[in-house]
Parts: sequence; C-alpha cells; structure tokens
Amino acid sequence: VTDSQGRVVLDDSVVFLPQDGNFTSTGVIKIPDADPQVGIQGLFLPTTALDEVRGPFSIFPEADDPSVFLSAWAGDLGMDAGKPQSIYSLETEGMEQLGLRALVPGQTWELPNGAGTVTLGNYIRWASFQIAFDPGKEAALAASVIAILGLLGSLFIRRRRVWVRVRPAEDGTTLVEVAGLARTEAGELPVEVADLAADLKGKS
Amino acid sequence: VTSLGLAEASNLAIYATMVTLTFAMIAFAISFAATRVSAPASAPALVPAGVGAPGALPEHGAAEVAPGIRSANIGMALTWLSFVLLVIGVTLRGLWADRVPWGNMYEFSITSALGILGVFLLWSLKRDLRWLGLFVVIPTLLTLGLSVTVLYTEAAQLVPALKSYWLIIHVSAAIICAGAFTVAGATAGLSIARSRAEVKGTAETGWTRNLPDAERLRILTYRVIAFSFPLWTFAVIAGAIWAENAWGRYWGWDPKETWAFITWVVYAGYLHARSTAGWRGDRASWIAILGLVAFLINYFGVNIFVNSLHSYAGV
Repeated sequence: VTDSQGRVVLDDSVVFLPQDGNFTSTGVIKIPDADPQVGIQGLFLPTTALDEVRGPFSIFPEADDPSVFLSAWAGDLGMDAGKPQSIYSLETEGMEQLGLRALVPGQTWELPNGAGTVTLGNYIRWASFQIAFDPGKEAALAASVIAILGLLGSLFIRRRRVWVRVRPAEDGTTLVEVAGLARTEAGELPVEVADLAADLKGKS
Repeated sequence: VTSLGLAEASNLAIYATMVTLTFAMIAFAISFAATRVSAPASAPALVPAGVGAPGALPEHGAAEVAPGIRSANIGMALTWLSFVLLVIGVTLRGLWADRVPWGNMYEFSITSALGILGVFLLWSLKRDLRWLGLFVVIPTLLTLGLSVTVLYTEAAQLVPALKSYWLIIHVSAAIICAGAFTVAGATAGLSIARSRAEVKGTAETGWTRNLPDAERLRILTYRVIAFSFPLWTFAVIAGAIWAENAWGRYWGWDPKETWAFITWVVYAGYLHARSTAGWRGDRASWIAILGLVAFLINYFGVNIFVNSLHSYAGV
C-alpha cells in the first residue's frame, strides 16, 4: 500500500480470517500513518464466485482462482482515541468510503482522489493449530462399543421362562401342563410352548 | 456419455421415479377405498386372537375385496419399479459426481427416499405389507418432491471435511435409519388410528378395516425401532469418531449432534415405554412419532435454519 505521496506505508502480509468451509475470509488493513488515515476492508476468496444473492464468495478452499474484494475508506481510524479495537474490523464511523474494487494477485488499484495505491502482491497460506490432549477418548470409545453390544443383547436376546408341571390326574393318567412367560417382545412364545407340549406328548 | 449427460439421466430417473410412485400411491389408495366400500363385515368365523394374527388384505373375505387386492398388487409392482428407477437415479448421480452421492442435502434426500423404499420392500419380502404401501409411498413422494424443488443443487466437489471413508459408514447408517424411522412412524400412526377405531367399534367398517389389529401394528413398530435404534446409536458413535478425526473433538454440542442425541433419547424413551405398564399402547406409539419428528427437525431444521458444522454445500 502506498499513500498519496507514493511512499510505501505497508508492505506486509495481513491475516484474513476464514468464515466458512471454503475459506471465504475477511480481514482489514489499517494504515494509521497515511494522511488522511486509510482503512481497507477485504474479502479473500481462494476460488472466486459471484452470486446475485450472496455477492462474492468462495466455492472451494483450494486457491484455484484467488482474488480479494476491497472496500477502501479514508478518514479517522479512531485508533488515536486510545479505545481498544479489533484488528479484524474497521470502525467506519467518521470515515468516508473511497471505492470498491476486486484485485487478483499482481494487480494494483489506484485509490480515487490520489489517496494512494493498493497492490495485491501474493497470498500466503497459513494454518492455526490447536493441540489437545484427550485422555478420556479411548475410555469413551470402549464404553460406547460395550454399550452397543449390551443394547443389542437387551433387544435381541429373547428371555423367556417355561414351566412344566407334571402330576397325576384323577383318572390315573398323568397330566402334563406347560406354561411360558415372555420377558421381552417376541411373538413366538405361544408357538414355542405348543411345540414343547407336542414334544412332551410324543415322548410319553 | 458426457458427465452432463449423466446428470440429466439421473434427474430423468428421479422424475420417472416420482411418476411411477404417484401411480403406486393412486393404486394403493384405490385398494384402500375399494375394500372400504364393501361394507359387510365378513370376518372369518375364527378370528385368530392375540399375537401372531397376520394382518393382511386377503383375510377379509375373498370375493368382494378382489379389486382392492388387485390394485394393491399393482401398487407393490409400481413401488418395486420406482425402487429400481431410484437406484438408477442415485447411482447415476454418484457416477456424475464421482463419489458416493451423499455430498449435500439433495443427494442425501434422494438416497433417504431410497432408504425408505428399501426398508419397506425388503420387509415386504418377509410378510404381507400391502396395507402399509400407501403410508410409505406418501412420505417417499414428499421427500423426493422436496428434493427436486427446494433442495436441488448441482453436484460439486466434496468439501474437504467430508473426504473420508467415514462418509460412507456414518451416512449410510443414517440413511438406513431415516428409512426405518419413517416406516416406524407410519406404523405407529396407523396403530393409533386403528386402536381408536377399535375403541369406537368401527375397526371393521371404517378406513382402518384393511389394517392389522392395533397390537399387531405396535409389535411391527417395535421391531422396526428395535432394529434401527442400535443402528442409530452406531451412526452417532461413528459420527463422533469422524468428528474427532476431522474437527479434533468427538463431541462438541454442534446442533446436529445435539439433535441426534435428542432423537436417540426419544427412541430410548420409546423402548422403555414399551416395557412399562401403562405406557405400552398408544402412548408408546406417540413417542415413536415424536422420535420421527425429532429426526426430521435434525435433518431439515438444523441444516436449513441453524448454522451448524453439518451445513454443507449451500444446504
């Protein structure tokens, strides 16, 4: 970025924060040393797409068709008041919009009113890492596998009780009674009890 | 065949599915209406009592319900045809995108429709489910209709977070659950309708005449949920493993995760209700319907209205 006198006021990379899974990223460039001060809001798109509803956005995280969409402002950045502000947002109150422009790497934008130039030199990939130690992970996995096995057992193992009572009947024969109680949902118990009764009858 | 040709062929197959399914729906509806008009309750002299009474169309007298049976058969045949067409549509979509066709909500929805038909048809090989056809075809048609109108998206490359074999494991389990929960929701709703008719004494004359008795419907509902609940548990756990792999944490109370858990709790509640005195009947069936509602909120609500890590590729 150069100012109105053509002095280079910023020659550095600025971090843009990704906003979605396709790395549509937003960031702000603040030039407090320019006169008047210049602030630029930007949208970095690794793979550029334009949509009537959504405006510019990225359709893929890989830098297949990179570009930045910039909105330049001139005026008071509000940094001198001593109030803390975010480096990722621009307080445009008290500033005047200079214009909008899309740049691809290598292109230069001459700001209106001779306020300076903005050149998109290149982009640098960056990554942030978060290291986490999760000692409960394996225990949780083992517990959930056991839980599934237990669940399968409770749903599909058919518990049932069967009673067989044998006693002499009054006419001298032997009376065999068979009864069953289903402890889980399964419709076949009456059939099984009948089968068992038939089996016992066959053996007598 | 060019890749655009594949896309068009896939869309054509989906539209063809909707046409044949519509005819299947009409056939099932006619079957329902036809058996309903023939009012004389010629119930067989020996009504099989309690468990094990197979509820099916042919039981209700032979001669006067013949037209109903014929159109129910036509409905089944058309449902099979729709299933084949939908398999073709989904497969072509996968070939076009060169990956499993579960990359966005449109693809997931058409595959879920396939899941509903698949669960229903596979089950119908084991028992006579012609009475259920209408109530399976309607939600399938609704799903497909929503897919082609609201959810349609051009196939795009997979977002990197989805590039994992867990996509196949986690999502296929979820798709089968979508199918099974929908079928269970249908049988639960029918069991409530039938049990109300039984209380009012209109079970054999009203529209629920073609249905198995309420207790039978409840057992069917229970079986489908008993099958899909462990599968759903597995889908949630597989999702957690994938999340730990892709996002670095296995559980983060993302809206999708939270609603998956809510769905799980509701169905767990259903299973408990089934073995709790006083809750076994219609109350349990209502819980099964509530479970389906939670599942649908998770599917449509979270993807469309909430900003979730599971909102991919537009929707």
